[in-house]
Amino acid sequence: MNSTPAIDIHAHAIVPEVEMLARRHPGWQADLDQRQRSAGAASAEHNRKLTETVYREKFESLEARLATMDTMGIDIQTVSAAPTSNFWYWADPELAAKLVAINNQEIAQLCQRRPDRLVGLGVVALQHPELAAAQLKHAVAELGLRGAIIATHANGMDLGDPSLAPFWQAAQATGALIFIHPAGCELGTRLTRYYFSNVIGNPLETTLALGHLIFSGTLDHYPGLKICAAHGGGYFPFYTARFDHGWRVRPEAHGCRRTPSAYLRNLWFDSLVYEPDLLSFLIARAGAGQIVLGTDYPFDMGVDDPRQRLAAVSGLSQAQQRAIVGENAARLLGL
Amino acid sequence: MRKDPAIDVHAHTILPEVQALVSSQEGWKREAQERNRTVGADSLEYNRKQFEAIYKEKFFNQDARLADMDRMRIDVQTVSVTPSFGFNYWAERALAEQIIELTNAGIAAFCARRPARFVGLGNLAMQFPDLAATQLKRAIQHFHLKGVIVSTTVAGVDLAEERFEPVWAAAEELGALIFIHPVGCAIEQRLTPYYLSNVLGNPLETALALSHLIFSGLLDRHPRLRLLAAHGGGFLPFYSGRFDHGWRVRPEAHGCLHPPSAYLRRIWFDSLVFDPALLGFLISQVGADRIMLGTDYPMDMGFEDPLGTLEKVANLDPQPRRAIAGTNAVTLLGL
Repeated sequence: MNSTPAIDIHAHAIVPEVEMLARRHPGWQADLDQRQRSAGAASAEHNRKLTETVYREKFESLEARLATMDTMGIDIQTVSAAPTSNFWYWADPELAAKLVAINNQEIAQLCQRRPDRLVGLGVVALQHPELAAAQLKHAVAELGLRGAIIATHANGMDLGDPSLAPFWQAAQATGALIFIHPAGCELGTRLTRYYFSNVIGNPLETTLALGHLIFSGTLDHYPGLKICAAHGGGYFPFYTARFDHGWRVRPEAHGCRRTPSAYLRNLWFDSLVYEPDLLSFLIARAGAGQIVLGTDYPFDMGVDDPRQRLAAVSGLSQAQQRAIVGENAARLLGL
Repeated sequence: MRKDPAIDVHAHTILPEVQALVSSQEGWKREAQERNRTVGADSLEYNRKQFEAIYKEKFFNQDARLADMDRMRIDVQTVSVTPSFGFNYWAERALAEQIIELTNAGIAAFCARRPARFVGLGNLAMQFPDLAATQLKRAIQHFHLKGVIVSTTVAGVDLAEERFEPVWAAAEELGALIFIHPVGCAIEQRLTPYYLSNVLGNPLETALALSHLIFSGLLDRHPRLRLLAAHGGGFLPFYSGRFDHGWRVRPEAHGCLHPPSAYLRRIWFDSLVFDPALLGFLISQVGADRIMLGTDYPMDMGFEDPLGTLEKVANLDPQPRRAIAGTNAVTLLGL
């Protein structure tokens, strides 16, 4: 391995046992129906085809995963559950305990097969914050996972909701990485065409998640949180000045201590914004110390050349390149 | 006019005679109630206070407006109705004819009082596209307005729907400017705190509207359409990489001839992004020839010093600076 391993923070896996258990419950079908409604028939059908062909092997075969990582120039992949069923946030505490236990156990086992190449993030039952706190502690202390992937809201409860306090306390106390990743967006039928549910909906959801976390003052209460946001943080880091202006002029928007954009330097973002000029702007906004590689393996909205895209960013020093390629992620993951 | 005038393309007014006509109508009350629900009680109450304390004088006293323009160093203001007071898309046909006639006559009269300082944009009954097309013709030819303001959706219907074809055809033929301007956004109740309905909802809405117009191929069918997008086009020009990637990899997203970002160079944008770094990035994405000053006068989410922000944009030559300050608008508005 190189002196600085290249680390992908954003890659997915599916645990078949969790899927099989979840499918037996009406919440699973309801969630699927809702997601297909808001994504539209053409997108749902194309995703189904991809799941049965391209994605299947990449999910099921460790060799295929490692071979792809080699092609990408990725030494270490951070594996988390694909948001196939909204991280099962529809489940009651008893079912959620089972689903999370199986998922996290299996993700840990996958990583143990190649501990030199894979590290894992668990899931938590964010809809039951006390349970989520216990699950996070267990994942980190007992299973050797590095943190958890969470969605942009828990069944409609936004991330600034005060009832999430036990979860944030646990996240801060354990030093676990919390990876915020969207899992579908509900805008009625307005995102049903052109794959807008994903293309527009995903960055929108992450923007909403960061907006709620920041404006609510949650990041003031838990300054030690290690939060990484998918897809470069969505629109948020790219369009902060309107948020700052709102914070300045509107009393009801004044829920956090500093300007919203100031918190960019306390958050981490993956590099998955596709274009070198966008990545360059993100680096300028948040700082090179806050950016980590992300590929979204194995999805078609991901990229298979994250390092080339980073290398195409002009004006970065060698040290900044190394930080983004792997050093930042190594620190976040405790490697 | 001065040799290098400063022209604001994004400023609002309210016409008392239109308010008198609509505010007793059930449809107006229903729409106001719905909007109030999605804005959130705190924001609503604060908006009321702002209206009484600040906006009212600026809306109804043209001398106060002129004094503000002088202070802001704006030579010419492009005036359109205030979206939160209603595009009035709820109105039935006969009433809609009355509302638009009164609105467009009112905007024209407002501008005629100081023709060297004001130009106007009308409103359309978009809920009746055939009617809207004739209203547009009358707005340009009879009232000598420069174009119209259009919302990002027409009562939930996105702008690329087939039914609006007559409007786009007429706009193209007339060379009318179509100013796309959001009026808040609702995602369940998730945008009610922190003024997110506006701070985050507005740029989202504009991104959604532009995305529909682009991905549907509408701009391929109407290449001469003159679109102006509020708030720097919202999130779209700042995050176009994901839109292009979706267009490349997803068959259902492939509705337009070119990568979505290519169309940004065919649209005009106001400069209302609050920060020189963001404005600089917008210029790099869409070109200095596509940007004009916008202030959102007299709203608190507007911008008191548009020229100051423009002056602070780094590495911008005098020629593109003058273009953004005014000469782009002179050409586009035919001044």
